[in-house]
Parts: sequence; C-alpha cells; structure tokens
Amino acid sequence: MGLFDMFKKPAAPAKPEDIKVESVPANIYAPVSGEAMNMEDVPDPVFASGAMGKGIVIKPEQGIIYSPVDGEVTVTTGTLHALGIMGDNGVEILIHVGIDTVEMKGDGFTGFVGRGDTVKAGQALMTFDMDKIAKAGKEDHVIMVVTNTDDLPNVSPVSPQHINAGEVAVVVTQ
Amino acid sequence: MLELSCRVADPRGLHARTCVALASVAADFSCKATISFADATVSASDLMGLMALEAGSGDEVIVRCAGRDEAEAARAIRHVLASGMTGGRPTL
Repeated sequence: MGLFDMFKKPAAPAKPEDIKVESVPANIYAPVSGEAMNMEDVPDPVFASGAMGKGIVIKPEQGIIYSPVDGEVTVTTGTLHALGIMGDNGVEILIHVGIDTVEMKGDGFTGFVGRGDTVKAGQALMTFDMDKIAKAGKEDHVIMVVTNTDDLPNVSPVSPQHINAGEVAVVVTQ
Repeated sequence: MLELSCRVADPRGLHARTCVALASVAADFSCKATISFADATVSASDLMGLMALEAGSGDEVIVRCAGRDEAEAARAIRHVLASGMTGGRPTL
C-alpha cells in the first residue's frame, strides 16, 4: 500500500471463479443465480412476445454471468450488456442483461470475453453491478433467448423456480 | 435489386429491440434482404448478426433487397430504422 493508492481509480471487478459444469449437448445451463420465470412474464413486450425465440428469464440475485453452454462468443456489444454465444450443440444464444440497459453505455458492466473466444459452460463471462442498474432505474432481469429456436425441434425451458448458475435452465433436442 | 442508405434514428442505435423489429419485418417478405454496416453484411432476418453490426445512433447502414417484393421490404426496413421502432414501447 503506497502513498498514492488513494489517487488510483478503483480496480475493475476481478474475474470471478468459473463454475464447474459437466455439460451435455442437450442442456443449456442457467447463466446466473436467481428466480427463473417464464419469458412471457418479463416486463418487456418485445422479449415477452417470444419474437426473439424461446428462452428463460432470471431475476438475478448476484451480478455474475456464466456461460450457459460450451461454445464460441459470436456477439459482444460495446455497451457490454449483451452477449451472443454459438453453442457447440448448434444452439444460438443471446444473453441480455437487464431491460433498456443499453442506455447505461457500459457503466456497471465488465466483460471478460471477446468475439471469437471459446467458452465452456460455467465459465465466468461478465459481471454487472445490480446497484447501478437499480440506480439507473432499469430492470435487471437476465434474459436468455435461443435465437435459432425455429431451427430446433424442441426448446423447453424449466418451470419457474429458484435456480443456481450452472443448473439446467433449458433443454433442447436437435 | 434495390439498395438504399438508411440512418439509424434510435438514440440507442441498432439495439436488441430494433434488431427484433427488423428481423420480424424481414421475415414477412420473400425477397432476400441484407443490412451492411462498416465491413459487415448480414441477413436482415439474422437477429444475432444484426446485433453484431453494432451500428450506433446516426450511423448509416446499407439496406439491399433482391426479389419480387423488394420495394415493399425496403420500405418496411427503412421505416423501422428511421422511426426508432421499439416494438411496442413509445420512444422517448
């Protein structure tokens, strides 16, 4: 600890520990711990309509997003609030943290992966500051959508319940 | 083939909701529609591709439509981009 430490900006959140997940191709794992709810009940008409595909919404209890599948990061946003992942199992997943959080322009979001990165289910991908989202007047629901739902025979989210990151959230058949 | 330049009007840029609106609109038409920004070109019905474009507010994107209903498709796509249509919520 030096004399000048008080002038340093607070360090960005350190990357959290990964969660160990024994992944199978048929499963998409919860990206965050919290209360899982039906997509139709999310307080946003566009996501709730299912126009983006089937998926699940989790009201988070902590601000860490873990990879829901083994795969590759296909989309990152400068505002850091959304991630796209192409699963090795052929499932295309969009994770959208919060509603209208694009307006926060990245403040409160820290990403640990970039486009093209290979990721494993349970790997810590990003953190988000739940207090900042609340102060910005935004909802912090984590929305996970299978954007290629139409290409898959069956996409079945689990029923509303408390779920921990790394537990099965959606089952798909190819 | 029709090609036109459209400005992204929504102050939030080409964000998730606008991408959904675009993808839904593009799916209504039979023609092939693409959207280009910077060096990237994606199908207008590819939700993830549209998000990956990361076009910002005020950016110009190129819309190309090729097929029987290309004129209607181009008009509809341009409307989404110009009106900041967010699929149900009023824009601020």
